Amino acid sequence: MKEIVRIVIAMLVWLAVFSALYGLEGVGCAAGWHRIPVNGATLFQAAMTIAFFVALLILVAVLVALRAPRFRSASPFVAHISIVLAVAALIAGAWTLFPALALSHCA
Amino acid sequence: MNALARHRALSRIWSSEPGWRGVISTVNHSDIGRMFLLVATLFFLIGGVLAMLIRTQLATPHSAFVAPAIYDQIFTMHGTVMMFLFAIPLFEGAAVYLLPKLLGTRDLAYPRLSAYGFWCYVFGGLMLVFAMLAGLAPDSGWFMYPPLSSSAHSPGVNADFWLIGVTFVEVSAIAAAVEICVSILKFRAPGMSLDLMPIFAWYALVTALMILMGFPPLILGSILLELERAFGFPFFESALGGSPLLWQHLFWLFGHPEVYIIFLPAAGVISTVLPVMARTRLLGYRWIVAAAVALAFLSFGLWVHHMFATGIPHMGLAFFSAASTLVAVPTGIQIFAWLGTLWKGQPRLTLPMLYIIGFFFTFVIGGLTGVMVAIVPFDWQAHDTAFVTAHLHYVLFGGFVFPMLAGLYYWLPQFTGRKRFFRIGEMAFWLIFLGFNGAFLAMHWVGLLGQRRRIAWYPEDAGWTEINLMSSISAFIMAIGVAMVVFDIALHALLAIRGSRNPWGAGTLEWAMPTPPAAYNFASIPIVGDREPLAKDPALANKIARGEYFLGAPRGDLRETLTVDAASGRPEALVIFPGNSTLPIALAAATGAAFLGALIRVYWVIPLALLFVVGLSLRWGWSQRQATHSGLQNVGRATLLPQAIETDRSPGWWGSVFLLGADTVLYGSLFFGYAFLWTVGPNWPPPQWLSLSILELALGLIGAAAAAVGLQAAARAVSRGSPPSLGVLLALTGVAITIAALAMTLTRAGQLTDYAYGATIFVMIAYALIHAAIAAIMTSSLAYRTWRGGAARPRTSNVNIVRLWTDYAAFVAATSLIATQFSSYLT
Repeated sequence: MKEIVRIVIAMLVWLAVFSALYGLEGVGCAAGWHRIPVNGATLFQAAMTIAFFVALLILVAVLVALRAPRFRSASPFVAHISIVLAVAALIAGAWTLFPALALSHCA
Repeated sequence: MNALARHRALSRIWSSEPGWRGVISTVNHSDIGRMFLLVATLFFLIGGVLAMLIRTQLATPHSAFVAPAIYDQIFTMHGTVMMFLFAIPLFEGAAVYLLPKLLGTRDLAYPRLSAYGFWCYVFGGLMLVFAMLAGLAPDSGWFMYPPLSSSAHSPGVNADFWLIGVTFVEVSAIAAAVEICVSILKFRAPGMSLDLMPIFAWYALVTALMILMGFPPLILGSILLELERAFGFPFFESALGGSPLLWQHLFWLFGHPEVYIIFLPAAGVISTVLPVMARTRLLGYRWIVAAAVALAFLSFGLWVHHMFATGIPHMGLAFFSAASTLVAVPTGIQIFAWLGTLWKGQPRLTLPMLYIIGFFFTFVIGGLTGVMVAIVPFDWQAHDTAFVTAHLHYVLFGGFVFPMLAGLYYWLPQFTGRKRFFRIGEMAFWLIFLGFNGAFLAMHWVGLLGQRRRIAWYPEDAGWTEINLMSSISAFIMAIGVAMVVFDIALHALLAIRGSRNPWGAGTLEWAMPTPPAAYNFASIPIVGDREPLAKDPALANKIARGEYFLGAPRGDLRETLTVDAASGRPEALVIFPGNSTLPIALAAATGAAFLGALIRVYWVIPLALLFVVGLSLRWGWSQRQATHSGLQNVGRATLLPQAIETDRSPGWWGSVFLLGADTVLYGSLFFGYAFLWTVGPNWPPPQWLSLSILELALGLIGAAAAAVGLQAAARAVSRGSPPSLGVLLALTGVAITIAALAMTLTRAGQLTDYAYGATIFVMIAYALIHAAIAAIMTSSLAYRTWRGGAARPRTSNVNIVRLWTDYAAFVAATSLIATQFSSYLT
């Protein structure tokens, strides 16, 4: 079962951070964060930008962990797939969450 | 024992009963798989007839063929039948029939559950067919958007038939998904490690996991909408704190992954059939597995692209637009791997190959139009037009029906043991291929010109008449092609001559057995050391028949097979399956009676039916068979293994893990709904919050903790060989206290019809209460076993399964109480 977890964990984390940022957008817009100024930007923009980088950091951490001897699978097959999927999750994170930097408003 | 004597002995043990009794009592996966495939095909034909009615209506402007009210029922039922009663069950049927044969085992993990799922599917499907014949079919579209589907705008029982019938059918899908997951992970031939699994098994595993994650949101949505329709709980009514958009979220959380749930098994068929037709091995096996997993997860990040026109903020649109374009990448990886396989092999243009070529042509077009509608501005233009209808048919017909027809003709000799003789299939292919493209290419065109979906009439002067007529004629050509396939298969099954065992020269295990297959599949369970074991050792089939591998010596009337370690494929335990039984059909009938009670609103039927469900379930668990002797058992080849029921993690434990996984998704969806109404729903906050009760909270938390600790103590006692009396008693007390605390909160949920908040609180607490009741029943069963002692004494596996369910009930009770009791502090 640990091998199956190794295979699915990276994309599962992507799904979690993707849902979290979408949820944060909903909470931020509902709470009016886009109307609260913070250093020339808005609280909403600041929160989304920080969340974007935290999300990427988490995905990088998953990739590093899956390559580390402690967590890496002894099976070359599982190790290969888990690392390919961790890279895919990182790319997916950067691509799908990029709008958090480019479109940080509630319109 | 020679091969013939072994065959006779195993056939006697594994065969179903003769005659009609065999149909209702069989639990054999080959029988259940065939029955699933047959019924799904019948529903495909029904859905196809409905499609022809739609095209007849649209062939001419202002058609008098049917009135709009009937047309609404026809297109709703066409979508519903094809999605819920054809595509998913066809995958289930194919998986149920093929997986044990591909994996080198004798049956699926839970033979009775296969039968139960099948009968739930049949009864649920019959409900919808009855609705159609009675003129009461659902008419709000296959996605049932409120407020159109709410009681104010759909006052009859039409929508209820959809909500209750489809949910009943989904019970079948969840049962099959649990079964498929556990079977693939634990019921394989010894030596078949994860990297040696047949590629179809990987696709089936990914698909089953997707069903477990994707179906619960829709089940929840259907329950909420039915509660709104039947009792006025206003979950989707904006004026009372609900939101119709909540339904769209719950529906598409299911609905988009559903597309990939349909496509992935078909991709599994392509990955299996195409290398055989190209006389080579599959290129990029590891990349294909990775692509399938990536595709599965990405598909859960696309649901909002069905809601681009609902006024969601631009950032949200951009998230989902980006995810929608990204999904083309893993799909592309698979397509290039298939093309590479063709390139390195020596393809032969057989009938399965023709359908694969048809798949490539249509699915790639469907994928490209998918990228088009993933782009928000284009989607706003094309939304709700015939262009989208055309796109989804290119994806679903191209991506599912063509590959499944390839699979049908590929495995036909395995099903029947006969050689294909008639050549009607080739002609049928061309009619289907040309008819399909004529019908749906035209539909892209008329959609771009502005024709709306789901509208019975269009004006004469719109310039759409000739295109629609061409589309309708082509659709009828396609229908003739489908009819010819049915005719071809019938002729083949009845008249074709006997064929050889492995006509395609394939390397997978389903061809290493006599055809049509015997009820036991393998006379001895083979040892596997290659992804294509039959290609590596052409004498494998004979060795299996001679009983050279595991379990080659039948014992008494025991249906025996092995479980293996999920990763390495090392043999782990001996499993003894139950025999033929009418319990599954009886349990499905009792489950159906509960659904029927809700449908016809005779509510006293529901608790009565549920009482039967509980009674039959207890009998089910109690009648689990085991060998006369406990301890290590000889499984052949000088190997001793324990019985699965005496291990810590029996198949029942694994099944509970996956079922609770799906349950957790449903619970998570409920929390999502709560948070959605809170943050996005209009007319929030509610006029009155639930006040905090320290007594209820403390009682609930203490009870939940006691239940969990009690079962932990019980598990320790059983593993030491002592009776678990004290632990079970503590757990029972804990569960009882939790039930009392939840019941007290439930009574304070407020006026449930006045506001969505109170209704949501009610559902969350009721969900926790139901799980606490399940834990109470299971713990009571454990207490009874402890009291009886002797052969009935609880085994480690029994306690561990009850512990899983009780821990989950404790978790749900604690989190539900915290989330509801503190709600007034979160404003």
